[in-house]
Amino acid sequence: MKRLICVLLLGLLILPSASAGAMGEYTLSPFAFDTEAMLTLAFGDQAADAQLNDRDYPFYDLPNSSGAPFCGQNDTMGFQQMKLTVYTALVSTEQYEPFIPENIEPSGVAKCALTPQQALADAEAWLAELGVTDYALQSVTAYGRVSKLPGGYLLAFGQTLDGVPVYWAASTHPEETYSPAAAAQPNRIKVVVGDNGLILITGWWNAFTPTKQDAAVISEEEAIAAFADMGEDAASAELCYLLAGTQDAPVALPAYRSQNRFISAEDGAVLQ
Amino acid sequence: MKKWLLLLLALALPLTGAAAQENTVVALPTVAPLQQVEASTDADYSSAPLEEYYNANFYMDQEDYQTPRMTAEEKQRTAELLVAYQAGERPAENVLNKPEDVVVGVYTLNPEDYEGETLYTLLPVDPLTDEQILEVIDAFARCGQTFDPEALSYRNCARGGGSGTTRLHPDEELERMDMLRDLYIRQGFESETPFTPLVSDDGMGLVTLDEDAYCGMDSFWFFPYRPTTDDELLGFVIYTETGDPTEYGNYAAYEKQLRLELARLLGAPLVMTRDGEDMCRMGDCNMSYGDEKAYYAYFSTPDGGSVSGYLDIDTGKVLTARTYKKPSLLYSDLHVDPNEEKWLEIAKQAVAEARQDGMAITAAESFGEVWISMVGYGVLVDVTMADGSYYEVKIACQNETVYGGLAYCSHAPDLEKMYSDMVSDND
Repeated sequence: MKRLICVLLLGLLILPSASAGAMGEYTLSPFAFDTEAMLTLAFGDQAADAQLNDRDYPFYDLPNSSGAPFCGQNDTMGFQQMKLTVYTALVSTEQYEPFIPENIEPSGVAKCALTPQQALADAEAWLAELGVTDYALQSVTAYGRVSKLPGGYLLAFGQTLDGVPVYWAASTHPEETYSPAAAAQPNRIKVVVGDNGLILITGWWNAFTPTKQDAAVISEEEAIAAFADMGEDAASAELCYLLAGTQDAPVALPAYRSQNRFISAEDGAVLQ
Repeated sequence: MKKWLLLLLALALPLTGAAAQENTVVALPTVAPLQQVEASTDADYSSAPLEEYYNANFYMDQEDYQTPRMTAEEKQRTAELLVAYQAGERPAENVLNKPEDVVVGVYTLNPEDYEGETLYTLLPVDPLTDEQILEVIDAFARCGQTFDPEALSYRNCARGGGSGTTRLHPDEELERMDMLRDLYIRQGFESETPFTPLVSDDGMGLVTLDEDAYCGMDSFWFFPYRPTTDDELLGFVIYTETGDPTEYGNYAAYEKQLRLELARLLGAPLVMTRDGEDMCRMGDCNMSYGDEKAYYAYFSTPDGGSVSGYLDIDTGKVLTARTYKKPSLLYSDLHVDPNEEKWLEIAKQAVAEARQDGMAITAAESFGEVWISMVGYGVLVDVTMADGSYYEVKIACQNETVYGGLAYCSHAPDLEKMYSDMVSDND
């Protein structure tokens, strides 16, 4: 059952990555989510009451409120990433707990009326309202195995560029880094939804500005050969973008990936 | 006490590189421990490594930071209170060599043990009251000395939280402690001169602290600024050992059974070095268990990995166990669908290869994506065996191989017990 659901759901969204068009090189900037949509998702019919909290980035909550609902867009964390946070009132009223491994439903079906298909449809509609269009579904996780906790779904979407996935280079995530500000976060949005509606949306996203367009890329066969020259026995190579560079000036480079190794999609040079 | 020991060990670790030395272990006699100090290594037994540690970690939270000094305002009041003391004002309490529930304490030292220092001062984290300053002045006066706050240093004072000891342990001392603990537990060695809490009698000592005054620390240990003798260290080990002495004679048998079980369940090699052992009530270590009395030991393997396990001493069966070996992987930003069938197959294969008795696998289930520290993301799979036991397997997305090792549990987790404090809307 779970397999079938996932195959069907993933099949809906993975297809774009198989038909990559022209590639280029890009600089990165913080993605601007639609503010009105964000406020509506977070506060519902109380959106008009939302007020800016005193922070160094736009963050909204309700007057005299100390917890959810709240929302914000934080572009101060580095790597030109925008961190989106949308916590609805359900965060305060439901013990939703989708991030505890023991609470995951291995069957893939959560103990709630909501179906995975409807959860996906809802999540995509919310993403569209926020202005998010370039993405691929990564996974749908059912939760609520602990009998006392409500069930629901966690949907994870990865950002795509020119129809292919983007990956941060290992160098943007230094090993000894414990401060989130010093490490690039995965460009993905997680949506948690249950029978009572949207619970939360969190994620990190970039906007991309081309600095070089219509770059010719090598074929997958040539990429596999280049990986072989590196000692990597790759059966396939995934066309993608490698996000590299510094915390202040990251760039997106066309690349092929085999496991955690990357080569330039233009000339096969080793990138990671 | 155990908490203190762990802290002490943890503090010693960052300094091991800086204080690299030959690990010379003083040989024990066959009938009684030595009293004389053998030729020492170039290890640093002074308070300097402690000072270096805190200087290098100045950004620590106050509760983790030891600051052997008074504030300018306190120093000012000290000057005034010294005058008052000379005029006859006295504190209500004598804190010289105060042994228990210490907020302020001053301790007499043997200068030969403490590089010439004669008094050691313990001060609370909170601002000192006039009465507390007066207590310090009075304790110094009782020893014929005039208290000088400018003379406070890591050599003669500790204030606040962090490390509850006069100095850190060099590697060689930690290794001797391990060896001596083994000799005490496995061979019944006793120290010739048992440990006494009073520091002035032999250079080693212990006082208990008012935890509120010392950021949760419950005790402070005096270790001399010189190499400890084996006998001194053995006395310390015996004094701090929390195990049940009536079980010590059984440890060898428990260890043998645990090794056999670790080999059967996890494919652990016979050649492993035991790095530590203890006993516990299993429910105190894992919420899914109850009153089972367990022997716990952890081992290092020749390939640089580790293996550990809890043995139910009544049944001879392992309750939980795990293997671990850190792979050298870079961070990966890759995310996968954790529900794909291939993760289950990888996990089942890993368990089948580790398991030595051929027990059948009855199920494999994915528990979604998990964060693997510093490496990126992985998939968590539980593999259930015919007897209801199960293995937790983490598979790194980036290379599709098992990350770290396998974790074994003798039965499925008791979710209702683990999350008993959760209340749903239906309750």
